[in-house]
This record gives sequence, C-alpha cells and structure tokens, in this order.
Amino acid sequence: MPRPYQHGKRSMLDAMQVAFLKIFDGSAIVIMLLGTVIGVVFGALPGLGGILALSVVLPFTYGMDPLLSMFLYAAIISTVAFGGSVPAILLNTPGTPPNAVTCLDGYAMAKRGEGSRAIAISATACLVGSIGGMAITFALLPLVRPIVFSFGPPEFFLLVMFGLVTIAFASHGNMLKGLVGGCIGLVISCVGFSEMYGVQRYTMGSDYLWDGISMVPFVVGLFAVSEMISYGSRGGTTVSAAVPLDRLNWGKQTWQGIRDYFSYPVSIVRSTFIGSAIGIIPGLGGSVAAFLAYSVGMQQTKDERYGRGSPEGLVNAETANDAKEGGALLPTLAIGIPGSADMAILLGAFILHGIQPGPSLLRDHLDLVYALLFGIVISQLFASGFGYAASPYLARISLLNNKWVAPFVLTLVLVGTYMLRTNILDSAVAVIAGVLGYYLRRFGFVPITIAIGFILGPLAERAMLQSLMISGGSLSIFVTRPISLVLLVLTLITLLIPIFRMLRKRPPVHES
Amino acid sequence: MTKQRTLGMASRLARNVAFALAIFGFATGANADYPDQPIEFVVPFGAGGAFDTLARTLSEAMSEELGVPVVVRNVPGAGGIRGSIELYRSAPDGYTIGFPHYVSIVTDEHLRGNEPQIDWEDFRMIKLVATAEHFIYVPADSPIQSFEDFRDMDPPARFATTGLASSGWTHVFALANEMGIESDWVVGYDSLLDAGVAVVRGDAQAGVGGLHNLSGMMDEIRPIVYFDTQRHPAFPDAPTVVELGYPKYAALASPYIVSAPPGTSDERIAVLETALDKVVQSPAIQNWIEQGGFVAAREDHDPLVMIADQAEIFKALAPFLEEQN
Repeated sequence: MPRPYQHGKRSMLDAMQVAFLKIFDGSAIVIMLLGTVIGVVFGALPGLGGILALSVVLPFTYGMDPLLSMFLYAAIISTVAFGGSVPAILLNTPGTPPNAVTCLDGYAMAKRGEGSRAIAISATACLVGSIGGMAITFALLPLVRPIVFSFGPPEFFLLVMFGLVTIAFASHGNMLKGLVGGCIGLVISCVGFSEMYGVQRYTMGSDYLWDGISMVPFVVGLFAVSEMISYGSRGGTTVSAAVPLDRLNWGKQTWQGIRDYFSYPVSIVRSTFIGSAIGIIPGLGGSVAAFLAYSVGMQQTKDERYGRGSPEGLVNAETANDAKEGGALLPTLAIGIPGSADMAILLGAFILHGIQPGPSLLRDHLDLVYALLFGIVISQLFASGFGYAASPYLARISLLNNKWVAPFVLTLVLVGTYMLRTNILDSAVAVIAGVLGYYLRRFGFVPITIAIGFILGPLAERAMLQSLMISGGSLSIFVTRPISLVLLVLTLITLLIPIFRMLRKRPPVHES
Repeated sequence: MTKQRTLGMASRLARNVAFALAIFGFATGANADYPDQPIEFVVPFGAGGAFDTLARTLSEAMSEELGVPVVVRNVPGAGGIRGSIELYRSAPDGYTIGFPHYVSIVTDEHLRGNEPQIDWEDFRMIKLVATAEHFIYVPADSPIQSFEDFRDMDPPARFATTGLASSGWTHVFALANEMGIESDWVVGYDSLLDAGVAVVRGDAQAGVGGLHNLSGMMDEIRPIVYFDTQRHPAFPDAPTVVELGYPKYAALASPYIVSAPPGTSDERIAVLETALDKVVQSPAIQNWIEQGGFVAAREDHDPLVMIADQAEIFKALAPFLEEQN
C-alpha cells in the first residue's frame, strides 16, 4: 500500500533541487529511458498511442515513488509524437492521428530516397519542439487563466474552420475532390450517440456504433490498411525506381536533416507557438495543432514543393505536434483541467498517488512539476538521439519489397487497433476504412482530406451549435468577439490565397 | 524420535487437517478454498477516470485482504453500459466483480426509453464504497448569491452541461421542473469540468457538477444548491434539496457499488463483503474518497433504494425530454 504523497510546501529553488537531484538517482535514468522506449514504440505502432501507453503503465506506477513516476509519464507523453512520425514518413501510415499531416511531406521525401533525412528532421523537431513548447508554456504561466478562459465556442469554431482550410491545399490541386473527401469524413464522423441532443445517429441499434466510429481505428485504417493494400498489389519499393540507389548515403542524410531543420528558424518559432497555444486550450484535439501550423506555414512558404516532400512542411507539422504536449501540460497542472486526452489519464495518475491537481499542486508539490519538466527535457535527448542513430537503418525499410512489408504492417495495425479497447470491432473498422481508402485513392481522392473532415467536423459542429445556443441563434457572435473576428479574417485570407494563386498560374500537376 | 515416526505423525496430522477442512468446507458450502485464483474487477470506463482509480486503489487493498490478485480490466464503451453488460453476463463464480454503471443503465431505460438489455436489479450489490454528489453553482463573481436569487432569475438561468439526458441535465431539469421554472441550456461539453470552465468563461450563467470533478475550480464558483441530505463542509452555505423542500432529488448521485453478476452464491458474496468492509476503512481508500471530492458511504445510503428512486425520477422526466427534442 503506497503511502499518500506527503511532501510539504517547498520554495521554488528547493523544489527544483529535489527534482534535479532525483535525476541522478540511478533508477531515474533507467525509468526515463524505459519511458522513451515505450513512448516511441507505442507512437510508432499504428493504433496504439499515448493514451494506451499511459493506461498500460498507470497500474505499475502505483506504489512507485511519485517523482520517479513523473519521469516515466513525462518520457512517454513527450516522445509519442516522434514515434508516430516514423511510420508516417516511411510507410505513409501515421502512428497516431496527429501525425496524419506528416505523411504529406514525409512520405514524399521517403519516395525520393530521403527517408533518413526526414526522420532526422522529425527527431530534431521532437527535441526543439518539445523543449521550446514547454519553455513558451511556462513563460505563459501567468497568462494561462486568460488563455483558457478567453477561448469559448465561437473561437473554437473558427480555429477549427482555420484547420479545415487545410483541405484546400492537401487535395493537391483538385479542390472539388478535396471537398468531397472532407464531406465523406464528415458524414462518417456523425455516426453515434450525440450527447448534444441525447439522440442516436445512424447507430442502427448497435451498441458498438453508439460510441461512434472510433477515431484511431478509422484514421489508421484509412491510411495504413489502404496503403498496405496498394503495397501488396503494387509490389516494388517505396523509393521510386528512378532514384539511383548507389548514390544514397543515409548517414549523410541524417546530418542534412538536422541542418535542414535549423534552416527554418521562423517556421520553428511559429509552429512552436501554434502548437503550445493549441495545447493550452482544453477541448481542441492534438490534430488541430498540426493541421493549423501546417496550414499557416503553407501561407508563408516560398517552397513550391510544400505538400509534396518539402522539409519545411515536415518542420511545421512535427514541431507543432511536439510543442502541443508542453502546452497541454499547463492547464492540467495549473487548473486541474486536462488539456488533452493523454492529460486526462495523467490527472488520474496524480489522483492515484493521492495528489490533487490544480492550483494547490503548484503550491505544494512543485517538485513534481519540475520532475515532469526535467523528465521531458531528458527524454527528448534520448528520443532524438535514438532517432538520429536509428534513422539510417529505419530508412532502409523504404528499400524493402512492399510485398514483404504489407503483411507485417497489417498484422501490427490489426493487433494495435484491437488492443486499444480490446474490441475486435475496432479492427473491423480499420479494415473497412482501409478498403474505402484504397478505392477512394484510386479515384484520385487524398485520404488526408477525409481524415481532416472526420477529425475536425465534429469539433466544428459542436462549437457552432454551442455558439448559437449562447447567442440565442444569432450569427453575430462570430464577429462581435475580438478573438473570433481576428480568426474569421485569418480564415478567409487563408482560404482565398490558394484560390488566388491557382487562378494566377496553372494548377500543379496531380501527383502519382 | 526416529525420522520415520516423525514423518508418520506429520502425515497423519496432515490427513486429519485435510479431513477437518473438508468437513468444514462442506459445512460452509464448499467455499473454504474461495478465493483460490485471481479475481477480475471490471471497470466500464477507460484508465484514469474516477471509476478506474477507485477500482485500482480498491483492488490493491483487496488483493492483500483476500490473498489472491484482484486485477482491474477496463471495458469502456457506450457510456459505461458495455462494461456493465459484460459484468452482468460473466460467470457468477465470484471471480468476476466490478462497478456496473447503474445510473447509465437506468437513464438509458427510463429516460431515453431504450429497451433494456439487462435487468439491473439482478446484480448482486456487494458494497457501496462512495457516492459522487452534485450541486448547482454560479460563477464566484455572479450577482446570484442565493438559491432565492436563482429561483427568481428572469429570464431563467442558462446552464452549461455535457448533454441532454446527461446526469447534469437530469439534476437541474428535475429540480427546475418541480419548481416550475424554465431552464435554458448550452450542451456538448466533454465533461462537467469542461462545462465548469465554460460557466466561468461566461458561456452560461450556471452549471452543475460535483466536488469530484470541480475541486480544482472551487475558488471560481459558488455552489447554491446541494443534492444531498446534509450540507457539505466544503461549502456550508449551500442549502440541500431537502432543506428547500425537494427531498426526493437527494437520491440523484453517482454511486460506486462493487457488484457481482446475478446468481453469485451468498457465501462468496459474504467473503467479498467481509473483505470490502475492511478495505473501505483503510487509509488509502478513505484518502482517495476525501482527496477526490467524493462522499463516503453513509448509513442513510441504501444503494438499491438510491437507484430505484433515480429510476422513478427518470420516468417522470422522460416526457419532458421528448418535448425538448
């Protein structure tokens, strides 16, 4: 029986010292290393993810020293995004839903034989994004209340609209198919019990459908299963035959990836800000951060290849993805409001250790907060170090014959989606989504547009209805609040610029 | 004493003990060896929530008490109904117990009018560990100071909650309906905590929730009515529904009742109950209850009556829910 956690109030320096010294306790390093491995592996296996990783370790931390368990949680939370980017780059299969946008540029780079370079960019994003996101977040500590409390449903709605605009360019020039894809995703996301009305939509009396089409199996199936079907039918390798294999130098690419990353300082700062800001706002999913940073980056870039293998796109998506966790940590610790689904489990872990998150946490258990921060910093070093060291070897996956890769990945996906809730129907959803994705792809639809509609649609629906409930049905609520007005203008500009550009020059040739 | 004789005595002794145990076992319904294998504890929600953390804290202490591992298994889905059904249909051998989500089951049947898949009354309720009680609150800086102010609001207060027919909605709607006042709603928040943030943010003028989900925000909100039979020491100014003359709504609460599948034998229930009686008094559980903002089970809490009373309240509300839709 663990005793309830009992450190009294501490001064800031005292707390920092306690947490810092704990790092040199031999077991702390082992625990962080273990957490990094768990985080990266659960992130990389499609279907698994941060929520499952935390749920799996939660029972084991019961009875563990609370400081040590913080190191473990920190390591897992902060390394899942990097893990998830690896299959997104090499297999066009996001390890977790927020990595979906990473596929666009990451996989295109892998096809050009630049897998190692892309992984190195993502590993650097993990290091810089996480630590930068956390630094920004804690600099914003005094502002956390205003930020959390100034984003209401109208602002949510417009933020999500801003993310939905991503469809406009993710559709690779065919905007009509992009919009149709987005609508398909939207319709599928409607299935399930609607809390807002207390009614069931398209559930056909099924208990399974009551919960709706679960996000992870659907998104993973849409990308991974459909990609594996085409792998199996197409054969060959990911790296296109036109690339001269004898000229590939994976090790050199890793260094180039690191240099690439730092050659976009503006993107780094911008995406770190976007990522941590979205993380702070409770109720917006992690996917919004990546979509948004990517979409803003698209407006600023001069790179013609953005969306087709541009390092810059990868920098934007992954930096925001890593920065969001630092942001999500803040409301969790400071107000006791989980900034994301992972954080909700972290809250449960605190309670299991007899600690009540919220303002009293920052007052009474500051050493735990610092332990989380130090844990994140150190596990980033592990994760990125691992990424650099392994990237030349991992990248060779893109040289394997796809006929051998497909069954292996399919097995992992089906087991992973099953494990999530130990429900075999989740695996069935992944397969159905995969077949759907395969055919839609063949008809020129881009899976990510479906994913964007599926992930963001319900958020938009809810936020819009809530806004109208607040305003008593008047649309003016979207323009009378300053933040939402700014967001509305930004969304319109973002939507119009690509249309304007497309009109000015010939639309780019559709890929594949 | 020779070695041989010692062995002989030992084996005779062992035989006698075995015989005595066998008779004893027979007399107690062959339960002397229960439990002799791991017990599974079904939680109808995912890891990290209140059901889960309570189950994990309980299972740890129960393992020590019973001498066999008590292992938590999360079966999330359908708002707690999937796991409840799975527990209901498990073998009634005392090796599967859990937390059915009774409120969800009776809400589904009586408020939403869905065909019930199981009869909750058949569950063997072993022990009520704690309850989560709710209150209606306004932001701390609201001009609404008392229940009377709230009652006389014109236009009526707008509430934030998760959804129609959710537990928050039922609490407010039942009370407001009885008082003859209208209620206006903003729904769709992920949790009662998110709804709390929304109320402080100004999306709505009032909300409903419990200390178990709003404890981090108590500085920002002011409870004005408490759904229990006695006032809570953390907010002694809020009157109870009993004081206000609506005693039946004190039954509205989320109870955490360790239960076994229908048909589990009385003997095994008794073994589990004895263990749980002890475990619930342990510092770890009491600490969990207090830290988490829950209410420890009291004399006046009869789980069976509590759920049955809730079912009656839901039945009465069902026509109004249809009207709202």
